[in-house]
Amino acid sequence: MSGRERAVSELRFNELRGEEVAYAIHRQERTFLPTREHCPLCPTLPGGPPTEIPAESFEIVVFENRFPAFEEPHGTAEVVVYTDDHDLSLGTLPAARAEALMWVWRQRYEELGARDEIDYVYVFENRGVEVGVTLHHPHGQIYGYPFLPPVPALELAADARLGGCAVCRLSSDELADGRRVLLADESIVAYVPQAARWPYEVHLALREHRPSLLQCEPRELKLLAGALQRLVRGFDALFARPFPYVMAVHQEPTRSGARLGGHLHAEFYPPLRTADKLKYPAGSEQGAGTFISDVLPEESAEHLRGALARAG
Amino acid sequence: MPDERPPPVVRPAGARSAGGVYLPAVAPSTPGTPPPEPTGSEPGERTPGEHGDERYGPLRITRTHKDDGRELIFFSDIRDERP
Repeated sequence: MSGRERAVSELRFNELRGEEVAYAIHRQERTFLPTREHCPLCPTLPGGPPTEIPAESFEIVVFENRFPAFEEPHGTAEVVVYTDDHDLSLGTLPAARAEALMWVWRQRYEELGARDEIDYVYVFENRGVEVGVTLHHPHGQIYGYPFLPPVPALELAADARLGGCAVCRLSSDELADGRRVLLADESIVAYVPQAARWPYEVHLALREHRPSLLQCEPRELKLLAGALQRLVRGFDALFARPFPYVMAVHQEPTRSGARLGGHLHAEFYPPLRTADKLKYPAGSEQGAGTFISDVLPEESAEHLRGALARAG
Repeated sequence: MPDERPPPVVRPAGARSAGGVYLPAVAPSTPGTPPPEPTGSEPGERTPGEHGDERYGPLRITRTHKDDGRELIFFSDIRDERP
């Protein structure tokens, strides 16, 4: 029986925490760190084993996850393969390909967000075994949630608390302060947040208020792609090794009939605190919800600026 | 002191509640049978029931389905094709 045939997800509401938990037990069987020769995200070559992508070459491909956490008609889980080259990364893609990826994200946001049952379209990338990656081929994912997840909901609550767009306010504050700013151009600002939870956490936002990719000018998409690439190359230069992270792209919720607010931005949560030591979310982080960091954001910003300069 | 907590809520499959929605079991798909066309695209954005190319910004979109029914979408940068 294939994973597809057994795909059954169940959502339960955790009353104590006030949040949903998704059960996708079929995912236990998903492909786990296959050899390079058996990478399911590589092209299908003549005489070679069939992969998820029945083509000898391709640019960007999106397909429904064989082992979905969410599935139509109750959301969706998609895989976004950035390239047919197994050895590239978001940082090392050709610039035009990275720019095209922004348009792919935008198209998926628009199409999935138009579905009645999808309240939130979430673009993300897990990179590195340290964050649970099971396939090394450069790719990201898109989940269409049939509810508003807690983290975007917290951002909306921050908007309400601050009396306006929180990302506009915080990114403006960071630019004014300057100590934690990593990149800034006419459209984009990247910074280590003043109260970062992870040692090398970085947020990257549009300077103009853009609720989602749909409101971005083509020029902004190009600059966004370039900034994301520079940042990832800087991460890799920090400890002279591929840098693991979770990249979360937050946009306006897509719940039908509602304009809930939001501001397009990417958040990177890297688990490393040194070249070979991980920051574990442990007792205080998991049991009390309070992160304890070993590095001040001002210091990590200084380290990252140096790495960005080395990466070029 | 009386227990003022509300009684536990039992949610039928598929019913939305204050807490969310249960996801009922998804019927197994038949290999080789494409699923219904998804809805929600803007009118004119694609031709229902067909797999013709679409354009989106600098991208050409080509849709197909895998043998097990999952949608597979190829995105190509048409800027690469300019002379």
